Amino acid sequence: MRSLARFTPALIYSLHLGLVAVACPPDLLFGGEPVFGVDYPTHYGQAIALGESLSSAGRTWAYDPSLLAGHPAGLFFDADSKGHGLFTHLLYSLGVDRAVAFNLFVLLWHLLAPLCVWGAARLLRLSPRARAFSLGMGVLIWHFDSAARWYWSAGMISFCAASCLSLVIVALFWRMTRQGARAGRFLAPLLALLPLALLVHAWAFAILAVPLVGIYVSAARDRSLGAAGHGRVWLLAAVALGANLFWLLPALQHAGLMAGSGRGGQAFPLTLLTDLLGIYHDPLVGGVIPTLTFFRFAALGAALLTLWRWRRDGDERLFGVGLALGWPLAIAYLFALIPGLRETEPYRFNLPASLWGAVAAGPWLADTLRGRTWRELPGKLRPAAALVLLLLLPWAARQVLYFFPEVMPSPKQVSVPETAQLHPEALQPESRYQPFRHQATPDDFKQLSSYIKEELKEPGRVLVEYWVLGEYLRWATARQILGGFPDRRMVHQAANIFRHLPDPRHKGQALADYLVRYNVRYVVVTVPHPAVEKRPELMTLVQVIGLHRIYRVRHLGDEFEAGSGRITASLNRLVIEDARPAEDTQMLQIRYHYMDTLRCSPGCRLERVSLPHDEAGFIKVVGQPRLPRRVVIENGY
Amino acid sequence: MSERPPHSSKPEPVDRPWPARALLACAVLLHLGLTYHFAPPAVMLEDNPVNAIDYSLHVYQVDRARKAFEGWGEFWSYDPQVLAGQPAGALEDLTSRGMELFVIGLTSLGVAQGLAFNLFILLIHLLVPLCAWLTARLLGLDRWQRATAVLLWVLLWYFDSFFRWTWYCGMISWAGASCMAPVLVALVYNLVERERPWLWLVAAPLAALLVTVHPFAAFAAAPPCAVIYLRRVRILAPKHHLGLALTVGLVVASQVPWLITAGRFAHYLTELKSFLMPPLYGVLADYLDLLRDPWDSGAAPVRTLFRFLALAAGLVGLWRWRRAQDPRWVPLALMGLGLLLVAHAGRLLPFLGKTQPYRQIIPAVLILAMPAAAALARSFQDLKVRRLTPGARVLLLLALVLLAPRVVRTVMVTIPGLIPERPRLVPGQGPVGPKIEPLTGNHAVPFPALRHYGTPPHYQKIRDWLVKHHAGRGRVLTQDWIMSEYLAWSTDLPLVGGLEQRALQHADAHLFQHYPMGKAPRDWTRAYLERYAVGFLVVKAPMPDLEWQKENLEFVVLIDGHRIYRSRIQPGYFLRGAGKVASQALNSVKIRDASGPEVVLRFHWMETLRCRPGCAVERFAVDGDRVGFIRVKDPPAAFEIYNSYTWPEG
Repeated sequence: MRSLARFTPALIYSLHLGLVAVACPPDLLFGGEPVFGVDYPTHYGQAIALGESLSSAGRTWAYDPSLLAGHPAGLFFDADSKGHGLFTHLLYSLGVDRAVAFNLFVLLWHLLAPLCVWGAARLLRLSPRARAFSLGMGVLIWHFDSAARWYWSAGMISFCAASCLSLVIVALFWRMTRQGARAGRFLAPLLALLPLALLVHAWAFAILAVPLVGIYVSAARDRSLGAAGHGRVWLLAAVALGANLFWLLPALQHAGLMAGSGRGGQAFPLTLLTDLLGIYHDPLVGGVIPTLTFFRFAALGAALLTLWRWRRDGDERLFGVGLALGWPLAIAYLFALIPGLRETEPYRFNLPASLWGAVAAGPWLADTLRGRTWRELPGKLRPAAALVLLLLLPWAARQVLYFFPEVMPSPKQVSVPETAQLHPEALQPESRYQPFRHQATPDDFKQLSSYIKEELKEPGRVLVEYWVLGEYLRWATARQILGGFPDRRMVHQAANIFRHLPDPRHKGQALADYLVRYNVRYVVVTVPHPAVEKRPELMTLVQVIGLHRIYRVRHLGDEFEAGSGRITASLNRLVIEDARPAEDTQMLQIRYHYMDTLRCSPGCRLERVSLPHDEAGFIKVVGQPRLPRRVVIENGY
Repeated sequence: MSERPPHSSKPEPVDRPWPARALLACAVLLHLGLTYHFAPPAVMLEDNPVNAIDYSLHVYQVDRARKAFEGWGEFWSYDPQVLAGQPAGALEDLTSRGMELFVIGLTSLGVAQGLAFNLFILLIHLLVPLCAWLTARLLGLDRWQRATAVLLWVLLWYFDSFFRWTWYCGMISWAGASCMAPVLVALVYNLVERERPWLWLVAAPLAALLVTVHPFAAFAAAPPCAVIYLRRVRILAPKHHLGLALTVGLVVASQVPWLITAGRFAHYLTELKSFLMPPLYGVLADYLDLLRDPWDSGAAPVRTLFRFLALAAGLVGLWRWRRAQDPRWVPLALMGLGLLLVAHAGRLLPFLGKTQPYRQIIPAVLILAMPAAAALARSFQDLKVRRLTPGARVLLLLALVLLAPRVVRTVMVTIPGLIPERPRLVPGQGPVGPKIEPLTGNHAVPFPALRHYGTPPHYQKIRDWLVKHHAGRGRVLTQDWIMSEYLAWSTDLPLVGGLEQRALQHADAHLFQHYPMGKAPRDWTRAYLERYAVGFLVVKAPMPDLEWQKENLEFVVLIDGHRIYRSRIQPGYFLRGAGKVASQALNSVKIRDASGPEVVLRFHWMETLRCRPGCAVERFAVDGDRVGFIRVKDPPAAFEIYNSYTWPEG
């Protein structure tokens, strides 16, 4: 039995690998296409832009005219996937296929996630048995907690990575502040991991700041640090900050271009109750995945019991672990109440809280789930305890079974007219049941991309209603796209009228003006928008592919608001050939977003032209004194 | 984890009756509140019968039985308006007799038929806690146990998916009989074990009533009653034997009249398409709250939390009784476990498979709820939270917290409106994107609220249209069988639709028994339309193979998703000869202007049919119809085919 216990972590990890193989099949990972999910096309587009920006300008951000009529790619919206993009670019530079490199980052964090839980448990000196329970709970949460599953299947893999890293970082930091003379050996990994975590996802700062500061202050108050200890902490802070300045500084310099967010992930204290009860709350909070939280709350409950015991026993781990667990939990369910902090999309922080729950659950589970517990239970209560377990089992099983529709029964349909419209939970597994595994790009997306490349030859932008499709077309075609992720946190997102509904530009003359103003030539609509689509005087249906309807816009406008010419757009560069100024002037206006880092040559300067509903404004090129026939606009950084 | 030693200095608290009474009162109030929700007075107290699935059939059965009783003193009749003439009430009503008698009784007192029908349903709802309490009382459960038993029955009745499906879909007689069977068993136990032979005077009519409400209840109640009796047969006083004889006599007497009639028509029975017969492993799907097959466990989300609570606690209770040599354990184990076995393994036995064996889950669980109540009440009494170690307390608390979602979901799936709808759009979806169901997070139609309701408005619209435009043009075939049953009792329209599982040869007149998905060949359809003089077809489910038969059908109108077609034949009731159907009503078809050496009417023949004046009825064999039509040789110009209720000799 002892040898079995010794191999238990390996067995659990093997089980994890099996589950990863199901959720993340090798033929998908190495098939030459990036994995698909609602967010993955966005991150793949970011990775491409980052790579091209690094290759061409040696910078982590660039003016990208291919999306939103020109926007700063990689400036701050990409702060949540910078690590993913750099990883992809690094491997790509070494000759790995870009999509495979992108996918390997996903696989890497699947492989590392339970190891982070186990590593944190080990650093916190949990017993081998407790570590095994922590590891087991971590695996169950990673695969079968709806939030965790949604995050890594939809595309928030970088946040998952940061959450996992935060476990090890806090545990290492706790050891470093408590280890006295031997603390130095924890500094080296921290110097690598803390900057890495911030690079992987900016919100690692939000996860870590309070626990690390709390542990530091606690250690300082206990006078256990000494001068060297203080020095190590400040060195760590300096390195973490310094290593990320290369992307942080430009972001701060252009903070004025940031736009408010605070729409997604806004959970409240009541959400804790709906989460506990498994009631679906809001698609903007937890994604379009059923609420399956049994293992999360089992872990959190067991973790609280561990903390309670540690408190009773005066265990020094109580404060650090309690803070590391309680802080993200508080963010997840309270931050939406606090103006300003809503921008963090706070609900996502339930993941680090759950993973900390798994770590801290280990000791209590290891101590409780023994034969001794059963034997010590009063005999009269054993049947009741067995009964409760019997009734709990289906609920636990449901968390797992949901993601394996293959093993579920296939009920026949009924012909009873009044009840033929049954809920899928009654008639599962219907197609509506998604196993939320990694998936390939849908065929209709590919067909649409081919159609656009082969058939839609007229110049002008493509307005794409479904944001996932917009992100995909951004890199799958050479067309300039208006669309994509609706909450890009920058003013340039105003160019997308499908970003937030309702938008006043959907109606009347405003729609006609919008189509001309942004030089929209084609519109792709997936979800019906009658107000936009039923405008035959503005657009005509040219093709239907799957659920997507493609319209050609009728207007006669082009990319010039004033003046004329031919524009060639590429990353960081707009070249206007055969430029002709507007009548009786020496200027022209183009339908591209203005940025104050753009520079014009030769003999010209740029001005910002105000736009309705769009703070970024468009570019006015003014000749000094006369407008040259060939104008080059470049990002001067 | 161990219990703390009791404080010997403090006296044990006195067992006060009021907490148990309060629990009982809460259970009853909960039941009344849920009954108010699921069987709202606005529906149940109206002369508009509940109309859901089987209820529509039962309303038809009740309607015909009442008319037959009022007109001829019988409960069966020849109904020429359904399936080109069929024996109504002779075979398929054996499981609705109690309902029919109840409605006939109330209508004779002046209560409207629809209201009387609804009152039968409401009565069964209201009797649930009473039956639970009586069963518990007769089995000798104490106050706490009785209150727990009532609470368990209430929770099962409204929150177990199959219980709910049973009373929702129309198996109300079975639901009622399932509640009465444990009362009978408990009564027999009480009168035998406590030597109260006078209680046979109650048991005998109760047993007769039970099998009248639903004869299959005999499978549930008879074996345990027999065991109770046989265990003490040698020491029982003669009065008991007399009581048993009285009971058996009353049961037999209550069933013989129906059975004789049924026996005479038995040769018309066809292969019964049975359902509610899950495989053995279906118990696992039930346990996991998974719907495996709606034909086996009802077309609704499976929720079995309280069922498995009752089963598991019931087993604990039985085990304790057995250990204590309590005489209750044998009959209750036989009934509970035996019926569980029937429910899940009944399909393996040829006869039981035809009785829809899964239905026996209900009496099985209800009777096991008695030892379950005993076990649970004892556990609660033993569970002195203050005496538990802190570790045991938190373990208990954690388990309950983790169990809470299952309880909530079990309850909320039955009352979907409890979760407020959030008008939030799904990211990336437009203003007409699908809503998300809060209990699953899927895009889906909401959970159906399985409450009683009356006739749907669109049924009334279609009925009104048909009544207005039918103008005597043949028979009406409706694909929605529930609507057909509704039209059968609410109009005088002649119909050839109705229950799809009708195991009678007369159902040869039902197109959808031959081709459930409407994939009938065109020639076959034309011959069918002519054979049964079909003038109109009403289709709800998409049936392109049938609906695109333009040479046979002409689209007329769309009403709330139902397409109404007119047949392109000229429907006529005369296969041979000529004449006009002056009227068709229960037990009577009147013909005028008959001509020719013989007439063959496109009405099913039946042994008890006669012709007047001065004519005789013969059976005319028809290809494609096993029953055959009515032939009258040398017919008078005007004659009537009527049900004589007399059988030919031999």
